[in-house]
Amino acid sequence: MTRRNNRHILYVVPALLIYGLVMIFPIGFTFFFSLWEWERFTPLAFGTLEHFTRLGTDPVLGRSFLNNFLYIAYTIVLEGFAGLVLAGMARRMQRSLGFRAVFFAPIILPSIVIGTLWRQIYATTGGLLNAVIGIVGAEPVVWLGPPLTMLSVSVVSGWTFAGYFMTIFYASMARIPQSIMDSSVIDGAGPWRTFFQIEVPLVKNIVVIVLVIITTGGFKAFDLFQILLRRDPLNSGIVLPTHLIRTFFENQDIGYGSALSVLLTMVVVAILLVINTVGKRVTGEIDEY
Amino acid sequence: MSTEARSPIVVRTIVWAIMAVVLVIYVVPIFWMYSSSMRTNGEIILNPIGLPTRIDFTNFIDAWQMANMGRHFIISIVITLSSTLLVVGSASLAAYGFSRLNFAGRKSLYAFFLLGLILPVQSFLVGLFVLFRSVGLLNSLWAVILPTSAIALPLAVLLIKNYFDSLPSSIEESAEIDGASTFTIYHSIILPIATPIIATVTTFTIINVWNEFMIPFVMIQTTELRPLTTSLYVFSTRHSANYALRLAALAVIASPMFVVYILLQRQIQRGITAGAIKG
Repeated sequence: MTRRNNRHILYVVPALLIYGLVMIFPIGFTFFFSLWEWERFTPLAFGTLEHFTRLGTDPVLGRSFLNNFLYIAYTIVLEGFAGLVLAGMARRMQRSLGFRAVFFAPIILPSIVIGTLWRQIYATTGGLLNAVIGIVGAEPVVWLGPPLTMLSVSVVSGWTFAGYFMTIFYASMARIPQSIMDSSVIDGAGPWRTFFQIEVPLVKNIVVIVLVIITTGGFKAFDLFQILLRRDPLNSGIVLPTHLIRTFFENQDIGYGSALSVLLTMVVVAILLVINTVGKRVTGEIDEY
Repeated sequence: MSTEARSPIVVRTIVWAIMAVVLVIYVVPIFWMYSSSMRTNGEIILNPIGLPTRIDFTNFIDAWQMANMGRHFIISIVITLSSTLLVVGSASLAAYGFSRLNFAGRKSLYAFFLLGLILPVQSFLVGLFVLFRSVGLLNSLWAVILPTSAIALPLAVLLIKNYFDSLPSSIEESAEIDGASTFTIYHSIILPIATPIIATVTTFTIINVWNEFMIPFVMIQTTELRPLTTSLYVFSTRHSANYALRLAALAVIASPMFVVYILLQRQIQRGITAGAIKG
């Protein structure tokens, strides 16, 4: 460490300017806006709480929350658990590199490609999925409509992210010492028990991180919902981020849109704080093996 | 050196069979995208599972021309390069300051940076939209370059700073004795050693900015200024009945990504997972 010299702060100024002006400053704006009455882009009067009281009576918001929780529950299974199991199976193959490379691949594609492709696969005319189930004589299904909307979107999420989480789990399981794996075999544990009672507990801290990513990611997910469902007139797949964008950019309701942003920010930060506190207690004792 | 889970042959066979089924689920949609692109729209509607009867690139050429993809490709390249330069340049400078130098407020400013790791894009999007609208930046490439850079910065600073922290202080001591300035030490000693982490940061910034959808969706309504992602959204809405054309457009976008992935697979995996394993 060099001697203290306050001119050295200049090194952090460019990054601080971009980050501060574009990210932090507008957050203050958003919170501030939520306390104003607006006529489109013109602020009328300061000091109203009407946007926050509206949060309590907005039926679409209730629907969005419900859908968000459903999406998180589905994706914990289809992204997280699937990734965990894929990692475990890859460890039991002699050559898994090719498989792993393919499963990871979707995440490099832009969401517009994934969403539009799957919208086409799910389509009622010219759709691949209905044609495939038609081979065994099943009737065509409306995949992107109630009651299947959330499940169908979650499947696309799973297809995109399961390989990503597999890669993370695989990399951390690869650090488990060979002696632990061997002694499990000597003790007569089958592959099922070895995986769930030895390998998974040893990467418990990664499991917590993945849960954090999926849960907070669920409240931030916008692209796939917008691209797969487009306008979604029945709101069967509306989630907090799409509700926010529609309120703000399509209805140009700045006050309520800001209040929704504040709510979304609070939810994400609250989840992080809760999981961080609980997670530390869970992972605290297994940091070394 | 990675460990493995040794298993009996029965287990291996079952695992192999399940993995093969999963592989099909991954490959079929991509294969279908390419094969349907070489069929006519009528053929797809009549029988979505059929294979193309000939090698035909008409749909690819039509999609390229009708979606004006050449233009939107260039816009995406300009946005991605600008953001990446901003991120790598300013993050490596800041990380150097935080890691190797000493000034008033160093620790609190760094903590202020880390705050950005937990904030969702939606927390500042509304405020930023109104801000950009009032200073006339809406519907300009800056309206995408600046926020995508700002989002990438906290993780970039964290990763590069951690890397700098791991370097021994003896590295710059002899240069200091020779009277080298801090900036000389930064660009001719520290930065060249940091190539691996700079590559990681560059990789995830390029991929994230290139794929970004929500920010240009909100910030750019001018057709000619849209990057590839949102221009494709508008294109596929406009041609919602022409499945063959739409799938061909997707194939055109996806192909270069696959080529890059095949060439730089390890680098890309390291870059994309760096965010999750930060701890």
